[in-house]
Amino acid sequence: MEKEFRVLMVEDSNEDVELIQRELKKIHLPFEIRRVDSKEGLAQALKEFVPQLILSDYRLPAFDGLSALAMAKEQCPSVPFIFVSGAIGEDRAIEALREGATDYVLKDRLSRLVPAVERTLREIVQKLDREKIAEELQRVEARFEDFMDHNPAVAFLKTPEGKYVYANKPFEKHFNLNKADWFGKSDFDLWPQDMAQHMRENDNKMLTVNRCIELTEEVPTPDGIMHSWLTLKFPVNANRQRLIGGIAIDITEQKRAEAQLKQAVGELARLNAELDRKNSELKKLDQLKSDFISTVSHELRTPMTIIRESISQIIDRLCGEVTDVQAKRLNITLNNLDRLKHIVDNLLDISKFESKKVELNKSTMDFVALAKEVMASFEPQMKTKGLQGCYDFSVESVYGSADQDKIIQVLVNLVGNAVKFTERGHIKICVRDNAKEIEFRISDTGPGIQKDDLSKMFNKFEQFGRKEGPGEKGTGLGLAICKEIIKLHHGEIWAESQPGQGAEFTFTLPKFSVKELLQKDLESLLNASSGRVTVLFLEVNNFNAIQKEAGPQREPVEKEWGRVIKQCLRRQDDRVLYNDRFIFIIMPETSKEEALVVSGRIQQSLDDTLLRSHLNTKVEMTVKAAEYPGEGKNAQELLEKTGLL
Amino acid sequence: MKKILVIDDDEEIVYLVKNRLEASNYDVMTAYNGLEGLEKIRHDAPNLIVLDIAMPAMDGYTFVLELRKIDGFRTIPVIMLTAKDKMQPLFAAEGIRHYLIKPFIAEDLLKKMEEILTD
Repeated sequence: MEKEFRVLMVEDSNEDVELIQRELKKIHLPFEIRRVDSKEGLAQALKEFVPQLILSDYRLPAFDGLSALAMAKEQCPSVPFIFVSGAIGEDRAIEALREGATDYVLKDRLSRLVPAVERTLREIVQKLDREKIAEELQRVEARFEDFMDHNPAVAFLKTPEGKYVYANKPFEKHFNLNKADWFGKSDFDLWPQDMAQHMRENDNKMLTVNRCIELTEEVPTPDGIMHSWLTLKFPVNANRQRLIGGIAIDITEQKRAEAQLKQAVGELARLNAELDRKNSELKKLDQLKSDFISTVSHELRTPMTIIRESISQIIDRLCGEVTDVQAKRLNITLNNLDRLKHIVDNLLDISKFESKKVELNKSTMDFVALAKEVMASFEPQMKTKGLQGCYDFSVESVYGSADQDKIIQVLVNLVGNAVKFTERGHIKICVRDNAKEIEFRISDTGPGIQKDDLSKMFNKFEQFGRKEGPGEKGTGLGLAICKEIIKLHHGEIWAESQPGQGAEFTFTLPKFSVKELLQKDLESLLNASSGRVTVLFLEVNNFNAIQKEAGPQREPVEKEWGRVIKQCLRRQDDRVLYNDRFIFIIMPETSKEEALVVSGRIQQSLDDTLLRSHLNTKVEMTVKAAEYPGEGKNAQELLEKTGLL
Repeated sequence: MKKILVIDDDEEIVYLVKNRLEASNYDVMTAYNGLEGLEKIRHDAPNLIVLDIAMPAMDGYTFVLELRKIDGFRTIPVIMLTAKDKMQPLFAAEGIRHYLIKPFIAEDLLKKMEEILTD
């Protein structure tokens, strides 16, 4: 809602008031008009009505216009005061204006009143605008100062000559200065000569390039401590005068931290180099140790051979007669020599594992047969101790790829330990064909293992707390070697036991399909040798018939077949894999012709076996063979040639 | 009687192997390094050679290489005696598949020889 414009009239004549009001109506503004004609009335109105425009007669019966003007100027000096009067003469009019009247309008020329009021109103508006702008400016400036004073950065303005014209509170606080100390002063008045010179040079540099530059300045705080400042200097244009603006951040701490970091990094690099050096020294020492063990155990072998064979020949009476007592002592010596050989072998093994020199010589084998074989080799020992050997196999046979000698080593170790530590009860070997791996489990009914020892057992030289019989002390390396072997096969090995309830050792080996195994075998063989290789693939066509005829005797027949086939392949390097009606044989250094001779021998042997089992059937066999490199350049091609892939 | 050539630079080993083999009715010739071995077979051809690897003058491997060049000895069986615990591929390439690891047991040597010689 538009407020009414408050007009105070100091007038005694009602007639004149009406005339003036009529004139004012020409201005399209809502007016609120009050009239007074006495000194008291005026004083009250000035206080309560608070006019925005005063129109006053010059001559009043109670008091005069100039007194009214004086009162108004005293109480509200900014309110415009216009005389509306009869003729008063030029001198008085001039005096009135000098005393502060805004204008002067003659009553007989009232037509001038409207323009005079309008002009006055315009002036009021303009004045209000100016005040508003000034107020706004002041607010902006206050806000600017608030900003500048309440941030950690030091800020300042300097004239191009280098005299400070503005500095914020942080500036004053950091350098312990007040406005009188810096205003109009230059850096040369505030800081040591050389620093001031440096700052001046930076100022000039900025003025030359006429844009913001970033630099580092060193300025001490009043306590004499040198601080580093990241300073931005930039041109400021104010009222056509160019100023130097500056903002500086104290980066002393960061710089110190940076220096410390740099030092720390340097130290770290030094330590690292030291570590590398020590590491390579250790590696060298470790290599030396491995080489030493290897050399010593090799050197021991010839003297051990001589001692062993000499004693053996004496026992065998090759060197004359020997008494029974002598023979007994010599046999004990021989046993201990074998123990010594065992220790040397273990030491050599572990040193090879440690220096990562062990390579697996993988081939395909039937793990069930392997487990049976190892157990069988312990039969005499178990018989002596009155132990029973138990077998638990989930399948007839399970083929896998592994280093046969090393898996035998593991089995011998685990079964050997079980036999060694068990006084009564049984030793059980278990082979399971699981979904993803082949699992071996050797359990005994011995004293079991303490919980604390379970975790240490696979460590080197750990003689865990199981009681050993006389003359059965181990090397403390057996299980450590087992662990290395299984690890190399990507399997796992662990032990479980409840004291008093026997021990159970389990290890697993990854599983492969028959084709995968065959291909793996062939690939590794082709990689290792350059000579020829023949793959033989035999299929017993009447297998089902033979099986049927054998009836319940089926198992022995099959069991015998494995032995028969192995007998036909006397060479160590020949690999055989048989699965029901199929027999696969890989023969290195063998031509196709030679291989076919072997296959004939196998057929003949199988026929003989059947005959011995009183079966009247003869084996009908399909034979396929492929020779490397003539008939196939790689495993894939050879297996395709035999119709296997 | 089968004739065996035993080559080893260690006199004691040679003596013991000879003694053992003769007790099992083999005719034994001896040599103390590869060169001497080659010399021996020129006059008298053995049925089988028992051979050490590390020897002065001519080592076991070089001996086998030379041996295979001579007519009549291209396929003669050789049993290696080794301190290493497995056959080196070098020998496998020369068609040698039989080896014994020191300290070997005499029965194993005799068994292996019998196997090879009756094949």
